[in-house]
Amino acid sequence: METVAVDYRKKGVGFYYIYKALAHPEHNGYVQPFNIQERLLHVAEAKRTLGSSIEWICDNMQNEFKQALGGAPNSQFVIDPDGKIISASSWSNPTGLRETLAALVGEVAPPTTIAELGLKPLPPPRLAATGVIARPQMPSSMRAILVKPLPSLEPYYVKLRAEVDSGFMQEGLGWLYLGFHLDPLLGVHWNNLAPPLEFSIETPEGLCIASSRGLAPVVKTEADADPREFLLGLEWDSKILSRAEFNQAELILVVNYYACHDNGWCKPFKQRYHIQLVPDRNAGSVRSRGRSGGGFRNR
Amino acid sequence: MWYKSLICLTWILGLSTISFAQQAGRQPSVQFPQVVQLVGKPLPDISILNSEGKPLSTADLRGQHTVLVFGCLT
Repeated sequence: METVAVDYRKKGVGFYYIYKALAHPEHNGYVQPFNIQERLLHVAEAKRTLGSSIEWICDNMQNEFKQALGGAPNSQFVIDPDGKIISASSWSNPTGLRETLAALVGEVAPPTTIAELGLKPLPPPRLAATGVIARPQMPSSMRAILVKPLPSLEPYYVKLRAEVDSGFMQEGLGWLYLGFHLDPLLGVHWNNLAPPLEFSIETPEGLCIASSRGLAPVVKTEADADPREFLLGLEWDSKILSRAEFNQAELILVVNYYACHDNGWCKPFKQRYHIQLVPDRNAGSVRSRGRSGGGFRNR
Repeated sequence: MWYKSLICLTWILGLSTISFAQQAGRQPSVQFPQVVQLVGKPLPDISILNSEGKPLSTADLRGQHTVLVFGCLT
């Protein structure tokens, strides 16, 4: 894409990457941002790590632009000067794009090569130790559900991801996953010299949870970056909570944790969430969960 | 030193995620027919932001041939 952009900017074509929700959270430790300021941090991180010359623009937090253009995670479009879409691909395809642009504004020969560009991509942020806590064995077919962080004076240095399995969605009996993940772009790590993360969760009548409280394991290393994860049994009684009520139901979660910033401060945090048992189409899907940390993350 | 090579390889693979779909002949199996059906339609008018956080409208992208590619860190 970079070489196509270099070649066709000379012919007056504009190029933009559009930043939207993460397709695969947890990859390289990145987690979904909770607000537009945090998404702009992601944009800056994308610029930093990719070393791209292409300008980034940022979709809104509802991902309206992405959804209006078909909802694909890596789609590619060409629009004409009047704003009409004249080419669309489900997946970005620079070879096909070069052909399309050649037909529109003329061929560029010889094309620029990647080696000529001298791009300088940079690695993701370094994290504290990972692979310290064993990750839970997850049921198959988990699906992210809506998580709403309530207003907080402090940033959500730790971000909750909630999922339920298909058994719960279909039969009302299954599993609720609660994962508390450090945000690597906010520069914090767990303070394991302080008490471990704990949470409490309230459910509406008709929704029974195996445990209304949770306590993360004590970790012997001083600091780490592993998620604190919980898998809880969940049962819905439709005689008490109707389908309509179920769709509106909110679980109220309060989490307490201690974190330290890479700059030196350490603080306790208490933050609150509302969780709805409805799928979140912008949450993305997690790959390789449950495997211990590896690669450069353990440096 | 072997682990440094492994780290480097992992890093390169990680960075190539965003361009995975860009390899000629390696299109992912999941397709989005609704995307292709947008050809001929006007770009929807939606409020977005530039990379500095300043408001922008998709209408501001008109005036020249423009390529738009959706992406993210992962």
